[in-house]
Amino acid sequence: MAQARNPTETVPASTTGETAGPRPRLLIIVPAYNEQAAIEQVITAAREHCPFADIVVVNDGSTDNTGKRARAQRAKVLDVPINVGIGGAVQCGFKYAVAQDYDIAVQIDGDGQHDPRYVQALVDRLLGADADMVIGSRFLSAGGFRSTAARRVAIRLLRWLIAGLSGQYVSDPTSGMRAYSRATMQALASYYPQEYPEPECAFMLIRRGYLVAEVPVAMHERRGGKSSISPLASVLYTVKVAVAIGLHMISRRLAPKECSR
Amino acid sequence: MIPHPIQALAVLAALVYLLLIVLALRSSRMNVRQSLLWLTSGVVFLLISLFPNLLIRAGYGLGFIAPSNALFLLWCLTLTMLVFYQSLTTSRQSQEIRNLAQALAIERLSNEELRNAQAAPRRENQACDSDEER
Repeated sequence: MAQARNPTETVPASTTGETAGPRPRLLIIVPAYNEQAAIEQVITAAREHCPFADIVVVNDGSTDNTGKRARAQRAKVLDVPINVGIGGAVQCGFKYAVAQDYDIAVQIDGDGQHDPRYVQALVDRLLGADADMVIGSRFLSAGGFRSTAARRVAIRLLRWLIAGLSGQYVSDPTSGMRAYSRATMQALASYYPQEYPEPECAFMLIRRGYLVAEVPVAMHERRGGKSSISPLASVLYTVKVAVAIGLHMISRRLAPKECSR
Repeated sequence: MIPHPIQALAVLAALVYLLLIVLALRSSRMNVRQSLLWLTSGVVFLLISLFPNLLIRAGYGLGFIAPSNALFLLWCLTLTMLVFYQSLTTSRQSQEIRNLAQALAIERLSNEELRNAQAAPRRENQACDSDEER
C-alpha cells in the first residue's frame, strides 16, 4: 500500500491513455471540520479508487477526533490551529499543493457525500479538455442524492445568475467536488473566496478566462456531522452569494488566466 | 451664551476623554496610528467646550438652524469614519490571521514529514545491520 502511493512508480496508463510521460502528481484535498464519523471511510475509499494519489486532510480546527482518525489512516493532515471556514481550509490545501509542486488537485468533502470513484473521471476531463477546473455535477447524471428542495431552488437561481453574467451554463455551481489544474491552484492559493466559496469561485474563474468544465457524478447524503448550511439559511446563502458574484463583476483580486498555453 | 455650569462640565468631560486616550497610549494598549483619530476628536471636543462661540458662529454661518445640529452632524460623521476604519482594520486582520493559520498548518505538516523521513532510513539501516550479523 505504501509503495503504491509512491508517485514515481510505474503505474498502469489512465483510462484516456495519455500518460506518455510520467503520471501527473495528484493530491486529493479533503477539507474537514468535525467529521470524525465519516473521515476514515472517505480516506479509505479515496485510496481504494486512487491508489496513486496523495491524500491531505485539512483539519479545520476540529474539536473532535477528525485529525487523529485521519492520521490513523495514514493521510497527510494539515492541522489548522483555528477554524478558518471552508474557504480558508480549501485555500490551505491549495497552498500546500503549490508548495509541494503537485500537478493536479481534487477536492472532495470530508463528510462522505462525494464518491471518490469519480475522481478519475474529473482528472481525465481536466487533462482531456485542457480545462482549468472540472466540477463534479450531480445534475448531469441520473440518480444519486440531489439535495433538498429548498436548496435546489437556490441552486437554480445561482445557475441562472452565473449563466446571465458570465455566459456559461454551470449545472451544479454549489458542488464542492472539483479538480484543479496547477495554474488554477496557483491563482486560488493567492485569492480564494471565503464564506460560501463554490459558486463564487466558479464564476470568478470563468470571468477571468479560465476554462471550467463539468462531468456527471452521483452524490450520497452526508454520513455524519452537520452541513455548514442549515435549510433556513438557504435564502440568506443565496442572497450573499448573489451579492458576492455581483461584486466579482468589478473585482480584480483573482489573477487573470495567462494566454500562453 | 452658554451657562457656565454646562460649559465647565463639557470642559471636564473633554479633559477626561483626552486623559483616557493618553493613559491608553502610555500603557501601549493602543497603537499610535489608531490613537491619532481619537486624539484629534478629543482636541476638537475640548476646543468646542472652551470656545463655544466657534461652533455657534460656524453653525449659523453654514446655514444650520441650530448650532447643536452642526455639532451632532460633526460627531456622527466622525463616529461613522471611526467605525468604517475599524471595519477595514478587522477585515485586514482576519485575513492576516487566516494566512498565518494556514502557514502554520503547512509548516507543521512539513516538519512532521521531515521527522518521519529522518526516522525511516534509520530503521532501514538497522534492518540491514541485523541482516549482516546473521
